[in-house]
Amino acid sequence: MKLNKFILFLLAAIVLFIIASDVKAQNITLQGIITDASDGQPVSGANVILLDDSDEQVRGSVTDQNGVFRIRNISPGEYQVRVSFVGYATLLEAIQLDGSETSVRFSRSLEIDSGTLGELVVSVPSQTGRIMGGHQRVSPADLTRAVTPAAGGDMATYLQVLPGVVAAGDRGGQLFVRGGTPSENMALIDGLLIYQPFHIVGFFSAFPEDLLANADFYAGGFSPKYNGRISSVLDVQMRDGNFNETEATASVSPFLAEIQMEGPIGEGRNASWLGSVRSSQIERTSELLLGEQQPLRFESQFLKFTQFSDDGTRCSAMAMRTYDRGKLDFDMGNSFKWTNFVIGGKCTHLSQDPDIFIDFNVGLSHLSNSLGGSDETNLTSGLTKFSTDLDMTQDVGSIRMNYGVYSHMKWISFDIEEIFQIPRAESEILLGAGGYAEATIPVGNRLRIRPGSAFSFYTSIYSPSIEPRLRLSWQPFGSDRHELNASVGMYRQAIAGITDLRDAGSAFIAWLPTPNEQRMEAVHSLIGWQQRFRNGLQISAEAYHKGLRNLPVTVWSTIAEFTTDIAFADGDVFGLDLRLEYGGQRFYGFLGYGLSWTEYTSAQDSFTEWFGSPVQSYHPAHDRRHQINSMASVDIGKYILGLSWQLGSGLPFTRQMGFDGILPFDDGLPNVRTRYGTPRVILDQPFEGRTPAYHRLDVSVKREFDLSFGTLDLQFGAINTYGRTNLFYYDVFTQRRIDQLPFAPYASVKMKL
Amino acid sequence: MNNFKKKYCTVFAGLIIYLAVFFAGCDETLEPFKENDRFIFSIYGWLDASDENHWIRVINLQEEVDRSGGGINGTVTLENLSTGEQTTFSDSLFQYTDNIFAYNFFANTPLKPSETYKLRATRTDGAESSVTIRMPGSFPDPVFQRAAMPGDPDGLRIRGVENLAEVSVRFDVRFIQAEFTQPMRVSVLADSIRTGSDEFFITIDTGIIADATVDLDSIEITNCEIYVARAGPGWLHFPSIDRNLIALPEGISNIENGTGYVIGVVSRRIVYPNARCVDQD
Repeated sequence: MKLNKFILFLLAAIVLFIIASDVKAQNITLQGIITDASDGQPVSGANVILLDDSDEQVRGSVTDQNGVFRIRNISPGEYQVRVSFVGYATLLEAIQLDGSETSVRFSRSLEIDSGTLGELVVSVPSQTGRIMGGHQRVSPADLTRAVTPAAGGDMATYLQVLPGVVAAGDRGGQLFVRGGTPSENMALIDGLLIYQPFHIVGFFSAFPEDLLANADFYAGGFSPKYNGRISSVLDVQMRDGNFNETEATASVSPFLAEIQMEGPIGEGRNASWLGSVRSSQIERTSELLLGEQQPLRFESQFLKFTQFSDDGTRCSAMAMRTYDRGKLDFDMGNSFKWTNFVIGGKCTHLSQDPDIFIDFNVGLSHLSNSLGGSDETNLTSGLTKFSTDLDMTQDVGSIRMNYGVYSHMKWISFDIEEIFQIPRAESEILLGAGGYAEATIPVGNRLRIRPGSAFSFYTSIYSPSIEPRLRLSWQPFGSDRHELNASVGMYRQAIAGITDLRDAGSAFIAWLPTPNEQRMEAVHSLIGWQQRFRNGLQISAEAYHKGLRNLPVTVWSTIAEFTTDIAFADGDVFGLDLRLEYGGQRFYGFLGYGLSWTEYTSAQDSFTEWFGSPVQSYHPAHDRRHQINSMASVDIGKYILGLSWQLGSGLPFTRQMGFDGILPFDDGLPNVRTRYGTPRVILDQPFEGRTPAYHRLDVSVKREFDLSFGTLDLQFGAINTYGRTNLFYYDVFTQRRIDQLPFAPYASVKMKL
Repeated sequence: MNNFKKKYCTVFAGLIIYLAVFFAGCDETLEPFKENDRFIFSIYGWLDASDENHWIRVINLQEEVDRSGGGINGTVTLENLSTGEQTTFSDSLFQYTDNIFAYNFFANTPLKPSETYKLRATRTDGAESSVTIRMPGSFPDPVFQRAAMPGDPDGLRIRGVENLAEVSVRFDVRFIQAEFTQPMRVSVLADSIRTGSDEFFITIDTGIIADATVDLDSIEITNCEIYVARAGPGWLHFPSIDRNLIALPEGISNIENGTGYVIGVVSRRIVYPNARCVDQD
């Protein structure tokens, strides 16, 4: 029955498309790619305005993440095109559109405005205060503002400043977004999936500021283009290498050392390469810096080749490898290890048919992770995905259609029987395919409705899935300074990442098909308002709900180290994000507040004997009720002072009521004098306790020096400036408290040649 | 920067600094332990009406595993509910592996079959855990049946026992060179077959003692016997119970205001003829 519905939907979409294709305006389309003249990088977010001979704005557009803009329905005539973006000299050029061509290409490069260069970091418009239907744009300048104990910013540190994003602590690489767990988040690097991109040292990820072109972060309500995750999407575009000249950058701090090189390939200035190697230093420096050795290590290697041609085609090939290893409990416990490897290619093309933009990806994403080190525990999990994706953007009359198809093959292997009693094979191969379609339908000048749907199917285990989604945006005053956004949609996920919830300090995720062969499911609903004032202030407020179903959770037991079964939970997440942001020439400030309430409901056999009812509702370990995040940066002469302050209310944990040893009677009468028995913790109901609140102040001071051979950046700062003892987690089985970083000063040096 | 913007910046920065200073002084301690009156003590053990020496494990369900031998801060008593006679147990500190301590309580007093007793562990503040123990009645000596043919196992026939708590082969191992003797016990309960409502038959491999001592050199085996225990009402068939249920504090517990399991038994010992026993003809 579901397959019939799926076929009907597909046929209807095809018919609609064929009919609509005939309806085309006979007006002119102006389109092109805007790049940075200094290095050839696409410029995202640049304004492209069409002015008539009275200097009145006729039409306008903004370049997307590929630097592409498109202005449609232009009548023949003489115009001026103005292209502007902060930090660049405004380009103003006259053009004549006589109607002989329906599509006119206008690709230009913007020159850096040297007069504003020094103020670039503070005054570049930020998107942090602006969230639209769960969506936020992230630029490299945004990453700079979050204090990071290295020479540059990082996506991991930045995301933790946002309301609705919860990190369990400053290590582990686990981010929870609006009640969703880490394995429910999707991270893409140049269109390819990267499974665990956040490093074991919580300030760092596979996406540092120096490699980032731009990113889209969807905390919820994301479009049907993104399929296979139920919580959030981080879609990262990595930068291309410099097309004009060779550059090298090296930096070092007590936490991290990096080397980066890039440059043109050939003489044509249409091809480039970019390479980066990063290696953590904290394991070497921690004893001196922090008074105790921290057995945490990560590294990454990145290489990218890019070529573009005059016909609007841009292709790149990329490889990224990350490696993480460490202990979250430094004195005891197991060692975690994971490796990501992503390799693939991407091509975008602005076609001769003026209404189609094509984006094609092919690649391989691999993750292997393990938990081991003790005599009792050795777990492994591996996941490899080969995928091809084709996305198209096409204008059909006044409607913009986004649609695409994909196929993938996944190899899944795991050895987790020591801890998870899952009666499945140790390896699986899944073949699947799917697609999506979404229309952006303008209703008048102030309302845009975006209905769409994703569909997917697998050759085994799962039945086909259709996931309808609807998004809308409304500008009641006809200006994008005031906007209401709302969305509702269904999201499903077939591959689950299971963590042992009894151990809040676990970073091991077992990736496997959902044990009961039914997809995890979420229904997102959100509504928000964002408003920008002319004086640089912007505010936004967004309320959301996620209804969760069929989430695999570990069965609670009072015995440590026993294997545990998997049960399933449903859940609800309610939340409110408030953001206030001010960006001036020399001062930037951000204040965010997140209110969130997450509750799971699960039925487990043991609950009846334990608590008197087979069904228990509880707040899971990532349910942080209140969050306050703030960032500020001030430009004082040649120095930039930055500070970040975060406060989070306590997280749920399970309290204990006592300890004893269980003596066995199954093999006769036990001798109490010679046997202690199996250690047991008498536990309270799951997650009834709350840890203390967490707060931390990070500060930094930066100065840039212009030298004859390059630039030198010096930075001094401190993490946890007032030395707050913040709890990371409490191990209920060993009664040990593991804390986050103490006061951690740092200095970094960065040389750019 | 105009005055309006200066005011914004000042308010913004001031707010952040104020929040930071305000919360910097706050201290919240972690309280991982939940006080409760559901579980005062953990009590495990068994009382044998055929023996005068009794050992019971009592643990004060405290915040931490006892790694210093701190004691239970209370007393353990046994009362005969028919006669009112009371016996106070004495404590003895034991150290186990992983540097864990626990107090076991002992008493040297005769108990009577078919009587009902109440064991109480009482904290100094009056909080108490207790268990009512109904001792079973006596039963006839088990009958040992030597193997009919070489290679066949021996047999043991038990009658008059509904709840079979233990069947084990017990012997002393004397280490000749080290000159000390150690008792050993090999359970054969798993090989028991119920042949009637109160009858069991157990096969005993003739090499059971040899197998248990195969890795021991220069030893002598003496005092070989078979021990059989009959449990009273409330006995559970543990092998058939899910271990997650056993692990729950109230899963199989018969302790009031506490957790654990205490049972009353009556036992019989018969000589176990085995070629390995040097003190047998």
